[in-house]
Amino acid sequence: MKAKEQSGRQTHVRIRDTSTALARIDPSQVASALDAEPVDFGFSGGGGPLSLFQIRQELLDRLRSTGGRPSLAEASRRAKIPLSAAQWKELEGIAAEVASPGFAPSAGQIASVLLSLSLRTIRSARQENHVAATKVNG
Amino acid sequence: MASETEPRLNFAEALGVDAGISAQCFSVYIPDKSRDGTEIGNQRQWVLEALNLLGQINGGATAMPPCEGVWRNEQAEVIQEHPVVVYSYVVPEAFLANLGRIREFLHRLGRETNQGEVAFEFDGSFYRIHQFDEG
Repeated sequence: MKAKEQSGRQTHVRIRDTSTALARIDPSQVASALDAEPVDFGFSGGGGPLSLFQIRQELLDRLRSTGGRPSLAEASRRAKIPLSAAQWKELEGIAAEVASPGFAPSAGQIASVLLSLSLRTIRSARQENHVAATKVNG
Repeated sequence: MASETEPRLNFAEALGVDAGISAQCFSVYIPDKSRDGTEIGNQRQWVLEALNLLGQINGGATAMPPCEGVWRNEQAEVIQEHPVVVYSYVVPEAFLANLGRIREFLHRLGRETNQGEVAFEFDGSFYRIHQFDEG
């Protein structure tokens, strides 16, 4: 099965595995129990690049099953956000990359997580700036 | 939801999988050199112990052939080594219940073979242990 890409080259489409896997373990629980220091782990508040691992971990933390498709906790408002077709395709690509058996986030959920991580970074930077300004002025 | 053009398939059903599907892998690097670059001499013994431990916990484990690697020690010397990677896909309940045994093994490995650090991977991330528990 092939899908045509914009470049004119053909590429095989990805098969989505819908099998149900065993429950996942939170990696931070393993790191803590073994007294190990993670090298690429956790959210970098300093504005560093986001890794797929961070996106996946945030999704795992926030996805809650309510009987149907799991939904993101605390995400109750649905807003229309303008996106290009290329951006949506990119989100679909990320969703496919972080997926594993029993864990199939949607492109919209990826977008929601990226937005919340970015907002957290900006919030953190603003707080740091505020503290620095208070020290200078105080 | 991924792209609507993606074909969907339940592999477990299609291939007759009748045991749980493990989605997370635990891998440990068994070194052949100490922190100062001297041969530890008993790498095979540690590989067998790791296989036995992870096999008991998760129902199976695999050791790869020795591979080539480097590690930069505290003196900024690059140590060339041939670690063996032992990996095992985890059965969550058993794995969590036996983290204490895994910790004991990893810290003893670091302590008794005089490592600067012991490295392992879990769920796609890389972890290091620098301070080892006392025996």
